[in-house]
Amino acid sequence: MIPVIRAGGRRGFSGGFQMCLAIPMVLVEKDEFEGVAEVDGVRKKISLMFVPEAEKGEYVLVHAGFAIGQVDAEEAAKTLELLREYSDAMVDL
Amino acid sequence: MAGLLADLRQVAAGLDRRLTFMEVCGTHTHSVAAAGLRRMMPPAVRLISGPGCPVCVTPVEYLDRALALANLPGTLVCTFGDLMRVPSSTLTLEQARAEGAQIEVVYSPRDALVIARDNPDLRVVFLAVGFETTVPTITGALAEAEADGVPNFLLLPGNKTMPQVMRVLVDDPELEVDGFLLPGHVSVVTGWRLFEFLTSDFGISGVVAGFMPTDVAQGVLALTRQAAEGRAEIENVYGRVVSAEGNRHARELVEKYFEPSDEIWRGFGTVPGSGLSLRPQWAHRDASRIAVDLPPPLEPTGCRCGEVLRGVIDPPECPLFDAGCDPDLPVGACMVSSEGTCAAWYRNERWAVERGA
Repeated sequence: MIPVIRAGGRRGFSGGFQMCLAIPMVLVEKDEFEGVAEVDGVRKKISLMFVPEAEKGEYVLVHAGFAIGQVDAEEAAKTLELLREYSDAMVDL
Repeated sequence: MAGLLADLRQVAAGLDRRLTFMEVCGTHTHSVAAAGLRRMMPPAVRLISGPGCPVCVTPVEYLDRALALANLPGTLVCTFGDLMRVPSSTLTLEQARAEGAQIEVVYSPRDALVIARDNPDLRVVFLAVGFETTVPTITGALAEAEADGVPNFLLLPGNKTMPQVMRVLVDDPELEVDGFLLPGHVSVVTGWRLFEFLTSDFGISGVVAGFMPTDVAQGVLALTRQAAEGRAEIENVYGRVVSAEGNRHARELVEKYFEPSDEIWRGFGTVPGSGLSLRPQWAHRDASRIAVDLPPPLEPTGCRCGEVLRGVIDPPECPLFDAGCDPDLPVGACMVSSEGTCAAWYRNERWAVERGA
């Protein structure tokens, strides 16, 4: 029995997923409750239904395709630093 | 960091007993292990991990049901990738998929909704696991399915919430928790006020902390300082991100669709009020109502994941740790998930085994 590895299950920094963590991303497009957020050159479509007040250029905390909160740039940088280290650890595994 | 640790040593020097602080968040687990924080603690401060890894606390009964659904004709099970390698009573989801079960890994519950919309003849079941951080994302997809009239999008409810299981931990005679490091991104949604029961009902302190090792150290310092000064309060050292009330939009939507229910946690058994069930008016979205044949629940032989999750043993105390169970060939859920306590120890803290933990 050979496990099938598909793209959706791969781990990586931007494509990866930690269930306890939301990833800070910059909101680069906004159309009412839909948005596009970016980190490290990777863009994702996200729902803004929980942070309707977020504006373009601001950091949102993205979890499983939804913005669940907002952060300032300094806090975003801290979390991203941890995530890079985290994803490196995953690669080493 | 050095300054924080020096302060911590100074405050801890004034303690008259050893303190145990528990974190209940997979990312804290990782951060503590990766930075080697446990080794840097003064002797009077002990850091342990609790049930903070969502897929680790997901019981075999849930996975058995997910597998049974994935084998029904015309049914596709969609899941977060973390759940794929967690053992059920029989196969993992990954193994079952290789044998032909209909299982798809998605990044967002919304991706599962898209699949449902594009395949109206398929019954799409999303595996709803995760804590308060994740619940709004699942609820959001559900609300969209209702609004857009996508009848073939269902959930297998298995979400869990922290407060009730923390009550169990506080009451556990095998465990003496003096304070909790509270999860940052759970608190983004719930607000830190959710944890006030710790002080009001138990006189136990809690500190909401961020995820960098320095954030965690700051949280531990705050907890230690409270103990040294005889205080027990809920503090928030993640103030720029977490508010008292959390995300109102998210909380209100979750409240509309879900109600508290009894829920099984690996290692804990049934914890009253610790889960989220769909309210009766959304029963048509509830895949747990679909009749399936289930095997008797069976945990992997020898695995002590349950005790690890309750914080009563550290991973090296399990006879399988690094001796038949490792991240490449994991036996139990705590070694499978990257957020699991055993995986975090294996990656970063095997020194403790060599030293004889």
